[in-house]
Amino acid sequence: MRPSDLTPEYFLVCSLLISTSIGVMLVRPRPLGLRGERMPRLIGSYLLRIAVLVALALLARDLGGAPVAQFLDAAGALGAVSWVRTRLDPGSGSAAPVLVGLVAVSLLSVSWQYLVLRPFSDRQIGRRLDQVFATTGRAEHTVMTIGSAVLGCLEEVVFRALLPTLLYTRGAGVALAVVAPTVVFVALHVEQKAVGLVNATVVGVVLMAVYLVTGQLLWVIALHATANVLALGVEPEIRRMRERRIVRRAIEARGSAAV
Amino acid sequence: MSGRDPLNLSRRATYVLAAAKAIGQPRQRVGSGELLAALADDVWGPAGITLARCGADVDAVVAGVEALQELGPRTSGTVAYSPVLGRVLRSATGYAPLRAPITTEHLLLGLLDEPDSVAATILEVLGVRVRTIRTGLADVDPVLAASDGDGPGARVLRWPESIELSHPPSSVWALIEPPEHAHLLAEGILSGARRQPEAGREIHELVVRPGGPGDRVLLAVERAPSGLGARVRQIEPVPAVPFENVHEVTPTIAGSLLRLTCVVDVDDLRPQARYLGRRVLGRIEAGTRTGSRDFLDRVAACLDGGWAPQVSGVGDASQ
Repeated sequence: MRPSDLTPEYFLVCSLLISTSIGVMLVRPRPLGLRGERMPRLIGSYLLRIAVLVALALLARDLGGAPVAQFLDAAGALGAVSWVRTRLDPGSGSAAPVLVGLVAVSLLSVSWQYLVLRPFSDRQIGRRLDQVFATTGRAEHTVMTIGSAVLGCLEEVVFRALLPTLLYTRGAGVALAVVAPTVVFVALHVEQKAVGLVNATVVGVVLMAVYLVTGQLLWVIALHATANVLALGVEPEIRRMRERRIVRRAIEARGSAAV
Repeated sequence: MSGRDPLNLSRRATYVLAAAKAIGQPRQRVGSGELLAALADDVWGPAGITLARCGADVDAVVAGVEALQELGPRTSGTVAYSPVLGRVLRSATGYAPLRAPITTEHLLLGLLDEPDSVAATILEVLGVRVRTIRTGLADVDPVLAASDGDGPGARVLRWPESIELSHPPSSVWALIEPPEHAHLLAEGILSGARRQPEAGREIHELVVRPGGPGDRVLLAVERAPSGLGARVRQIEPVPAVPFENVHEVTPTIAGSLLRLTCVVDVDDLRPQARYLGRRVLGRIEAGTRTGSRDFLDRVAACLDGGWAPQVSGVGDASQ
């Protein structure tokens, strides 16, 4: 990218992303936050992030249609993307297995942590007992799940389609247009610490690849929303169910012993 | 934060936190579950009474805590406090009035603010609703709640259906026979004397205060059912309760807690009975806590030595 390509629009996008990160850090629920202040902060942080992503989308609305298509065409020059696209062509004869592989990789990217880290094992449940999370209780979990699902949809629009297209139309190479938004996407998950960063990297890379080879934004939006709902809505609930079962068995065993 | 010491704890709250630490000692980890168990175990405190009323049985709570404790990583060295416990203490500080100590009620309220904690899981399994506990805490008599920080020696207890004697007259220790075993309860607590409502003036509060070396004074606050016209009257010294009126003594040892439950005909708790002017069938629960192996050994020796209560028929409470 040449210095002449750094338009006011570019600076506006960067400043919006930076100010959002600072704002979210200030507004997000604190680990030792009291019950009364957690929910307003939670809602506030999500509204802030959603508002900024909507602003980014509005800024880049003129990129819809032709520029995005141009970017996707240019991405076809990347070797791996070209290879998969060729095999996804119905006439190639290998479309079905490649499609199945693509679906499998997509699903693995959003579920790998449950297979590798085994969060429902006794050991992991024991490690997570009484830990402080950003939210507590069903009301806060619900807000976080819905908020993160909406946020995930917007993130896909911004980081998979709009920002790469913006960079590409401003003269950046295809590789930079693909890598830079993914790096920003990963960096925005820094608050989730090591596991969250690894997860964001895996999901970010796979979803970007899926988008580039299929050009289907709805697919990656659905995958991202699913990943967020699994992590913030389903997984805590399953863990609580396991905890309840363990406690129930212990109490029943005590009752049987007393009899 | 109000700028005061965030751990300005009442004596009872200090004791409860120490008990939580004792419960978590085997795994060297203290969390919300251990605090809940300690609060439920504090059967004479407002939080313990509320939990008991709501159905949080202390033995069930301890069983649940131990089951989850087994899952956690074993730490070495000093006892580790869970992050949620820190948040509970901060919440409790928020509930305590300015410059007032954190009481067990505040600890329980702070605990209820953490729906993802071990304590919340146990309460959920026991079918205890958070709202019920909050309502129950609100119903706890303010005088009883105020007694939280008094510690031993002077407590004011008021209860709709029972009179509690935190430090009863020494003659009540005669419930234990033979007399040389009375020391088993000497460091304990005793409550009981359920009483029937009556139309006239009734004892509304029973105050137990140290009256001198080896002596205690019972003061009764009586008032009309309307709540008006309270007056204080000193109750006469309590004569010894004959042992044959003890119908049942059930010693149970759960962890470090020893409980001796005695069901007696409170007709022989003469001051209350005379004062009320009728017979009352009551249940006296005496308990003592000890972490010392020596004490449990002494209890075991008494039981092995043939100590057993005489059993007679239970009297009729209806008059």
